[in-house]
Amino acid sequence: MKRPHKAGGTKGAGRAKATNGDRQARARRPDLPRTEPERSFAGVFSPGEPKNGPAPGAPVGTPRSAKGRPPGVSDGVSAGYQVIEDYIRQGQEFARKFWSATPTGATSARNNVAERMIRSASDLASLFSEFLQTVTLPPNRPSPGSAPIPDFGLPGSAQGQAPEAPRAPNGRPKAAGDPHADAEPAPTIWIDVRSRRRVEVSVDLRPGEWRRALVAHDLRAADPSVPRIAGPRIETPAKERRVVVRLLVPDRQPPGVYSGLIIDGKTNLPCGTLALRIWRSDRAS
Amino acid sequence: MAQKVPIRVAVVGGGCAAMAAAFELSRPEHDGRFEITVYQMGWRLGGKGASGRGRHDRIEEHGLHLWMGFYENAFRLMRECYAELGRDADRCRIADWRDAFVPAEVNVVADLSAGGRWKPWKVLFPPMPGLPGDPPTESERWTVATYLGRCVSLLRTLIESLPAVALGGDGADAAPASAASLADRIAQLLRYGELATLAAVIEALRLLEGALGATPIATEGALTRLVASITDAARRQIEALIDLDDEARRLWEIADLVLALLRGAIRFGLLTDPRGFDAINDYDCREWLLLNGASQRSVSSAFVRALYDLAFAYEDGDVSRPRIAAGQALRGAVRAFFTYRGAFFWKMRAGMGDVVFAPFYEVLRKRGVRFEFFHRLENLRLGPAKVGETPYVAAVELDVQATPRAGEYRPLVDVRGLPCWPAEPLYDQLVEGRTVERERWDFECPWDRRRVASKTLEVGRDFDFVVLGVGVGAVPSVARELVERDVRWRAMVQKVKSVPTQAFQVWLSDDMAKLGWPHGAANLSGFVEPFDTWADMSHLIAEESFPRSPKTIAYFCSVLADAPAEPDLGQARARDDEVRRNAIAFLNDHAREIWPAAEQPGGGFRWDLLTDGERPTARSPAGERRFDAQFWHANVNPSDRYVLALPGTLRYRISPLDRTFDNLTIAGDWTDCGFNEGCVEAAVMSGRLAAHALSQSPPLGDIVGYDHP
Repeated sequence: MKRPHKAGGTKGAGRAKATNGDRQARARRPDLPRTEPERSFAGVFSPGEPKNGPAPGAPVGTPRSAKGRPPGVSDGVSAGYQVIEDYIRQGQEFARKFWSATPTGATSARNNVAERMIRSASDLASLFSEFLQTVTLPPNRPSPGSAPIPDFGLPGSAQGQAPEAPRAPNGRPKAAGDPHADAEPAPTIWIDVRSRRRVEVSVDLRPGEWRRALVAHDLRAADPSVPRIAGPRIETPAKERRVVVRLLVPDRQPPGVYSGLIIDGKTNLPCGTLALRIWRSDRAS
Repeated sequence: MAQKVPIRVAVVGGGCAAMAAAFELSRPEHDGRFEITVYQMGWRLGGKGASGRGRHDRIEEHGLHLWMGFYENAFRLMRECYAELGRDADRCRIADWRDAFVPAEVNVVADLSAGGRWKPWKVLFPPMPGLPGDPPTESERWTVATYLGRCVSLLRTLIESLPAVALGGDGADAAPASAASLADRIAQLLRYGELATLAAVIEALRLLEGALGATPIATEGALTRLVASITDAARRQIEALIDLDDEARRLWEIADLVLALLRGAIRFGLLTDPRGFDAINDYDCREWLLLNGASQRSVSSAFVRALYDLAFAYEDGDVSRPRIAAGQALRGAVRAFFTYRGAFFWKMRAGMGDVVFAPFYEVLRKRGVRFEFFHRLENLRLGPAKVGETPYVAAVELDVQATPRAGEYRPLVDVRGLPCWPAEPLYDQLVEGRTVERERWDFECPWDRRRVASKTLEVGRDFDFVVLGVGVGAVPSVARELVERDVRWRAMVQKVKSVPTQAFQVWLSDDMAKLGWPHGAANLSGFVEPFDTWADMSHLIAEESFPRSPKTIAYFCSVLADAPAEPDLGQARARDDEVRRNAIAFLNDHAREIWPAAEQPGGGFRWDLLTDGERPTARSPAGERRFDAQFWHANVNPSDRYVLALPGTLRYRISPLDRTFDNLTIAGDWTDCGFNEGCVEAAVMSGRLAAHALSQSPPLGDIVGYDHP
């Protein structure tokens, strides 16, 4: 006998109709509106998030300078600034304690240490600021399972920069002399590195330049006596928005940081940099 | 008129996840919509959390269990369970959840000092507002950005605490007692001030170094050399400094780790990645921290070892192969450190079975849930494959291990007013009681195949839905048809690995202070293998009924190396013997590190400290044989194995919400449940998800932490 369907059930499981061969209708699990966690950035920072309210310690009164940027990104940058401010406060606190505990007539060397600390904290803050602005742009990050490619190659120098970088009208950090920065999303960068040791690769390519016929110079260490890493290749497959960087690291190449220019093969003008770090073998896990 | 027909749910297994699913599906709000039967092998609920009362009511656990202050789902269910239980506080000493759980305030990490000696590093986590399981506050919001902010605060707190630590807790502003102490204090403060300064310098320079790596070649050479030389010099100074001072070294190691976490979170775009911390789950945690600039010293520190120890994170039980997925490890760490409420750790005031599973059993039974003990799952049989039809479980095949005389087995015993689980079946209630007792049937060992009958549950007749709540180690054998049918299930059982664990408990006739441990009732991790974790459980003395009460109870546990061959009944017992040997060797060789007074003058453990709770007689055993009256256990049964969160494997987990099989859901800390690491909280989250899969309740938003980044 066919079992009756549950009365009054608005949600959850139900019984399907009996089919040929089924002695009875078999209950089936309900269709679920979603089956995965929502860990997304948009959900995390959305201002009207229903029940949990704003983040504890969320920045209050920090400038929302990212006009035109999605609110989530804007809030992310603001949250980042709080990190920076905390860091600066930490440095100032140390300085206060340090000086208060230093007897009158302490050596200038001691004072220099404290001054250096403040300066370092300030430099660090501006670098963090730059990092945060970088990460809130369209991401170019290593994916799970890929070789680690941390972006230690930051565009530009950190020295002397204020925490708030100049911004283009759309809220992105504006790169000097970069007419394409606002117009075009970044290409995907594929990196093919052959190395027996742990390495990190960083590609810093100015926006828009990926369309050119790119050529990479040999990678050089700071010490001119260290042999260069020859033959890095850059390919830009036709009709694809991607750049492929191929690099072979000789087995006996000394550990350290190597870098080389990426240039336009036609004009010889620089378009970016390619940097490589070879870890000492004892850093490998 | 339509007749209301309940949906019959077979819950297979009786651990935390299965009980959470049953608890959710049997809520009064469902108005009896689900008719639930729990099928449990052996005589007790609990799974890896099962415990039993042995001789003199002593508590015998599968292992050491501590609840963490961020177990929001688990505590919430326990609080609701106790509220519904309605025990009379005048008649039952554990009537409320606050009676059942007590804050464990003293946490210690075993730190190997520069001199090669183990030194306890006492970590006091301050009580935090609220209690675990409280309703979420309006201001509560967990984001990666929030955590980065908390990390910076932690960093500041850590480094700010350095002078106070060095000055013996007087604080930096306290007046010095003499000129000599003033000089010392200034020297120390300067030393620590310089450490903090250098930390900032190194951090800035490391980033500067990265920035310089991308500048034009022409400006690079000299600056890079300068940066490298300053960095090296700074590191050398710090290394020299921290070699002299353990406190400074420990705090520097944590600072170094926090800096690496901050740097890595930004470099890997965790702020914005829709996967949250999962984005880095293909890296081992140590590897990822190294990649982001942590020093080898820091990632080998006691702190990191303790994190691995707490998660039994050793592949195949091999302590030389520590591995845990970075994203999940960090999610666990930030949740543990930054979201706990009340206390960081909570201890149970009796056995886990007594505190958790007896109340669950009583409440569920009151709600009408049926329990079929002595039912061991043998096979989930699939229905015939039809084109276009989702596969489904057509039958649940069970071995019946024993027959209750009265139709229903009543599993609990009364221990001075508290319902508890016995350490052995209540044989008098079983038709075959005398036989199975005499022949020592091992009801919880899957390699003991003895049974009194078989039973097959048919879909549509005996059940509609199945909640598979067994341990992950048992899945390949009991769900072999599902594994064979579906490629994702096959990948899951191959990739989601588990590991055996070992545990022992000792009862001692001296208290901790007399044994030479001055730090109070502590939990210690990061200690020497083969038992890296110890907890003082002396608060349980009052729960047991020894004629001569011990002064100390100590639990030890750790991972146990996998056996090379497929285990069987004989081998399972041999592994118990192995744990006994490990425990004896450990007590002889290493107990002195935590209990200096427990060492004999000529070396080795003072076995006379062990007590069986009775008055010693001339026939009482001596020497190592006194250990025979203690308790030890090898958790090698498939359902008892601890699930690992190995790098690159979490994507192979399957969610309870998955509908590969139309009338089945899964529940356990081995599922993809939002917190993919073996623990009570993950199990409860998974059980709640399993209930949601069948009833769409609880709402996913109510499963705390499911959407956590």
